[in-house]
Amino acid sequence: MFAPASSTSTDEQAWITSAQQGDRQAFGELVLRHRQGVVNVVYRMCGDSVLAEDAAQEAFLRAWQNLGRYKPRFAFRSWVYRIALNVAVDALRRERPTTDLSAEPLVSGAESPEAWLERKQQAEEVRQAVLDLPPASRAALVLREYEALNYHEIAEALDIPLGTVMSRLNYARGQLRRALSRHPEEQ
Amino acid sequence: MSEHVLDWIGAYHDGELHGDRLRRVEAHLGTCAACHSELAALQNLAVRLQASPPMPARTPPEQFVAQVQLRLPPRSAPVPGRQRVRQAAGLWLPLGALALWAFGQAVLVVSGLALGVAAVPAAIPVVLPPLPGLGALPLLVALAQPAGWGGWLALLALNAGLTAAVAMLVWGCLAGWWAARETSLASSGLQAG
Repeated sequence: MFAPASSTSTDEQAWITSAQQGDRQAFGELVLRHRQGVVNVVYRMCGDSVLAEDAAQEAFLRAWQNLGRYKPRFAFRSWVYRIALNVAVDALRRERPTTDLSAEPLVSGAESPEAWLERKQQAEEVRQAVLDLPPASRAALVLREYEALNYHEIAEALDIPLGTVMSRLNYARGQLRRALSRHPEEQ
Repeated sequence: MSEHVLDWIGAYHDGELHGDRLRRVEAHLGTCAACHSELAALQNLAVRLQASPPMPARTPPEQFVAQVQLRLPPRSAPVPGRQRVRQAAGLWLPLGALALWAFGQAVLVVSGLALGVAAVPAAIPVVLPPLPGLGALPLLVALAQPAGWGGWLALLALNAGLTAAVAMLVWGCLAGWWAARETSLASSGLQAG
């Protein structure tokens, strides 16, 4: 019924094996490969770019400490995203996200200030609507919509059954549609 | 018209359906305006979500990796088989000795209570009925009975010697374990650096 999960590549598996034996260089390759994804997952979960990079580093530290427990039958990406999601939730418990001015794109020469302002406002509405979702549904949505994980990978990352992935995504999308329908996008 | 497929539209939109389920949803979407409109709404939502900008890079990738590597605590490599056996022995030997010693003490206390009563007649003529459980301690009885108080003193000296031996063994093993751990940490730190 559902598409099969993707697997960890051969060179990545070699890095993981080396890193499990204490090779920092190999772990650095893993960090380089998954940095963008982990930072994005944390950022979409907590909506704060200042928190996101710190939390992403913390996620990689935890991954290093728990690398001995990683099982190759899971995709490494799913495993490291699971750690990143936990770190993001912990970070949100510790401190409230700030208004993230650095995340705002600068106005480009091609668009008018009004168009830029409107685009910025719509992006902020979407960001806020995502942040208003319950963490469990938000995590499923972030992994699907922003990281393009398939359902099997999301199930691995969140340690939930496939049916629950589907129901959480349906719930998250329903909530987002309701929230955003109050401010429909002009197209 | 077939039954609505609202629960499956999200999975269809995500490209997660295959086989018979996919064919049924596709067939239904071709005939049902409500479900088709639901699919369009999901596609529109996906466009809006994607329009939300990703996080701007604050730290260059190489710098990020270097920062992570600097924060990594040292982690020792897997322990070879022989060393693992030595480490296990270093832990279980003193624990086993301690358990044996505790058992011996318990036996001594119990037999002391019994023999204290039973051995006294050698010095002070008191007649006691036979005590249940004494049959389990023939050695102690044999040691204590003929010698009287002398036997007891010998037993106490033996006990003190055994206690000292066990204490030395436990402390020796603990010191060995601590020294091995320090050496292992130092060598892993050197490798990591």
